[in-house]
Amino acid sequence: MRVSGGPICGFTNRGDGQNMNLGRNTWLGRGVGTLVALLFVFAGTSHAEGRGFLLPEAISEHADRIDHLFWLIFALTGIVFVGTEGLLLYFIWKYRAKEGGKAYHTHGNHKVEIIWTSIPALILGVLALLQFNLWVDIKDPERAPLDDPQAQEVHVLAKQFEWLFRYPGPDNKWGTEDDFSYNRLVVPQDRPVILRIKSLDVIHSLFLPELRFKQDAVPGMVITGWFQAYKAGKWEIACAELCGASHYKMRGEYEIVPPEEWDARYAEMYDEAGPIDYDSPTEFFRFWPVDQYVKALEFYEGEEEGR
Amino acid sequence: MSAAAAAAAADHGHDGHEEHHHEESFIRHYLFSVDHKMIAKQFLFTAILLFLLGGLLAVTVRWQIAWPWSKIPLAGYLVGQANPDASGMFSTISPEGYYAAMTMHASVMIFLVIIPLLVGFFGNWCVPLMIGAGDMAFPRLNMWSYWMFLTGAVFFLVSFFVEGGPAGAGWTAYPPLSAITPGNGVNLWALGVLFTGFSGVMGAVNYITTILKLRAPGMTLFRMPLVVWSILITSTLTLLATPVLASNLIMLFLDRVAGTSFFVPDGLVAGGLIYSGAEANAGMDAMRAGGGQVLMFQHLFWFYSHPAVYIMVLPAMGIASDILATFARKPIFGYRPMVYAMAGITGLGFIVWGHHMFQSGMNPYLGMTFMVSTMFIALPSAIKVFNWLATLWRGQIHFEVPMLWALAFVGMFIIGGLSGIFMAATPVDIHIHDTYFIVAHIHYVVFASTVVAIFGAIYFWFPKMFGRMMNPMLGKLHFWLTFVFLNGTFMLMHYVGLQGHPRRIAVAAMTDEVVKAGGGGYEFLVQYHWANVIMTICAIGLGFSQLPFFINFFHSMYKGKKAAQNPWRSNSLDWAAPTPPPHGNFVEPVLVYRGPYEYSHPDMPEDFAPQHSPDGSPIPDTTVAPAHS
Repeated sequence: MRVSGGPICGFTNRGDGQNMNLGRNTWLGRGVGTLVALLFVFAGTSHAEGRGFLLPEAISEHADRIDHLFWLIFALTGIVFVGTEGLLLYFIWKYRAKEGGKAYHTHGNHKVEIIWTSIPALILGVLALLQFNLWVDIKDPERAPLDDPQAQEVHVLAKQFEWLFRYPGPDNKWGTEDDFSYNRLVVPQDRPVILRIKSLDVIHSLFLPELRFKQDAVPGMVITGWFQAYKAGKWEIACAELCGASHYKMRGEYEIVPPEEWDARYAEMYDEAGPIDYDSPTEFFRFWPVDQYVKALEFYEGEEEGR
Repeated sequence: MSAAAAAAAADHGHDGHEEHHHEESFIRHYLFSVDHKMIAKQFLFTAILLFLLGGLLAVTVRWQIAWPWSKIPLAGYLVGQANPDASGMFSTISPEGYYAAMTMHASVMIFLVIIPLLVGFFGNWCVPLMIGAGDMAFPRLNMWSYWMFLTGAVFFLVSFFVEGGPAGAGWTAYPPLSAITPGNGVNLWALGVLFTGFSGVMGAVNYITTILKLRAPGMTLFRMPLVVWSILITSTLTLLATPVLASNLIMLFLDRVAGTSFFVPDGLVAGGLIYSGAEANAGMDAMRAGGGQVLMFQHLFWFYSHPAVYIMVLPAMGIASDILATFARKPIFGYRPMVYAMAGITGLGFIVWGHHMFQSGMNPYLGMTFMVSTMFIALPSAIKVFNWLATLWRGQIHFEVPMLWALAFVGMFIIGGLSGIFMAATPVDIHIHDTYFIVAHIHYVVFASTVVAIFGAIYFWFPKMFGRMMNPMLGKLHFWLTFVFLNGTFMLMHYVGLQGHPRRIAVAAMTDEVVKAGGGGYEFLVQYHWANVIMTICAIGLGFSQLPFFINFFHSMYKGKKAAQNPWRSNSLDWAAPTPPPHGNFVEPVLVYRGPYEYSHPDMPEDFAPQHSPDGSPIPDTTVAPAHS
């Protein structure tokens, strides 16, 4: 049985005695077509400096790999979109009611059902398989380069309505005199950055669009995330989870510093912030004490060695 | 009237029927009615009035984003004026007001408009009529279902008038924010959702029983219209998932009013107050024990609310299937695969909830599992789309108003479905999670698909409900305006979302005026502000596009052209009942001879063959004693 969708070059039926419906159908077609075209034109014209088409600029390997997957899905869904919507519009035009016409009576076809079930299933299955590694590379703390001597660890504390950051100081050890806190995320380029994210009050979400980084900050949990940027510059941090009436003001800034400038910059930040006064600790250190964190870390590491 | 009497009315024909023409008091007939058709109308009228409220809140939200802190029409009445001197008609709102408007827009639309319209109105209207039953299995439970819904709605409405305004923690109400927000807004919100949940469960029990036990002779399960299948499957979802949400809401409620710590972890410090935990409180007394699990709420919430998305789309799929078959004059292509696809969506629907939580801090390997199940839930939806297209193939498509909506449903559902694949892909979701891309996706599914199908259903069944036709010109005007403006509103959301526009921000673009007014928003969004302005203008247009509908609806109810019994020449049993159907629905007992989609059969005299016609030829209109309504 032929079910492939009728004659594809079947524009011959278009007589002069067409009814009013025809006009309406082509409007539908033009409407959808124009909308899609407009979307792309707008997307193109607002292509501002440093921002990509549809997606913001990408500044890390993770971001590139995510964009890759995005464009693959974009292409696949784009083909399906054009195919199905095109077929819908074509059928609407082609099979509009005609005088004396009679619809073709069929209840379906087993074969085509199997075809259009198994092909999408295959595509979806492959698509799922493709992402396993990328997802785990990004999110699994055990795959993060925690032991890399180059890695820069930063603690992120979210509170209503600001982002606070804590650095281990020039000696790169937690719980020592030179730990300091800072109100911007400043990290080196080309080195892994390990973030330990926690929230003081409600759920927030650390969103760094150019790094394609997003992780909820959850009270009661310390969540590890990491990235490695290959481009220096300054961008904005967004909070992506509703956290109260001033959620829209919870903007932060992050800066990627070129590797050769990092040491000087780190020292400068330390000078600016000054060492922690442990006798009257700031809110950050009071509610997320470093020694508590260090103890927990040692505990987990010990547990891992024991395994 | 009891179930037995209702069934008797259908079974014993005229004699049994006459008994039910006794006079009923106004209260019994219009308020505490046990007739499924009157209850359906109660749901319909209540929900479309609340649709206006939800729409106004949506315009408030959009207006604030496009023109921050400007005077918004009517917003002051809804979520409070930021500047008490302003007149009530136009006033600025506070950030709290913005979040209240956003929360209540979603809550009203989901819990008070779409689910009640699909299940309460539409299920009630169609199920007994389409399976040839005299009424629902439990008419009194049915009445209670409406009154529970109305109680929930009253809780929502009352919350607009309490100190501190309505809930502002988002319709997802994630704790600890929802647990520590002061005021009664969230309490009333939780009670409201709880009561609409009761209503849903009562309805679900009733639909399942009615469909399984009260089908007319000859109406086998696989001769039921897909609409009935969709309600049966939806009811199963409601029945199994809603109690989980109820337990969640009760725990949240206790956290708020009884000082429990189900969702309040140790060491929570907000607004200078230490909420919980003894270890880090440095001499201050903790307000409660702590030790709660923040993520547990999300798991339990989405265990209901993800299936709820299917509760909101499956009946729409059923509606679209029936309308497409009727106006393409063709049987549904692949009837059984359509049923299996719906069942597949339901089964998979229970194991995909975690895809809302990919960035929540949940174990990444758990996220991977949810990614796989989510990828595969796209499959049954794809099968349905292919079958709808194949139904149109070689049909005779009549462009009546309901058909325009059904066709638009298919076109829009494709967009909503495909954008879901981006989110299912966990790595891509890292970027688009909690951005406007998600807002676009949910509105393409819930507004552009479901609400569009509901409009189709109202235009389609209006003649049966009120015995009059709706005006087709106004109907087409309503359709085209809605179609254009909804795409204008929601299409661009994909674009700004991909650029990183976070959702739920009261101010998006950090322009100079915004900085002067106290700040907020992001610098990188200034260049996309034009998109927000276009979306808002289209949203306002979308609001005004509903005017022709309301005019048409209320005018046609009294002044519309008289409708024939079966104006669309449709097959299902609802059209075998007189117009409008009397108490007990059918004048004579109906027997079912064939499936619901035997259109254009080569051996039949006409291009349709009613299910209750022994030889397939159309049956003359049933005469009925003077209608009592």
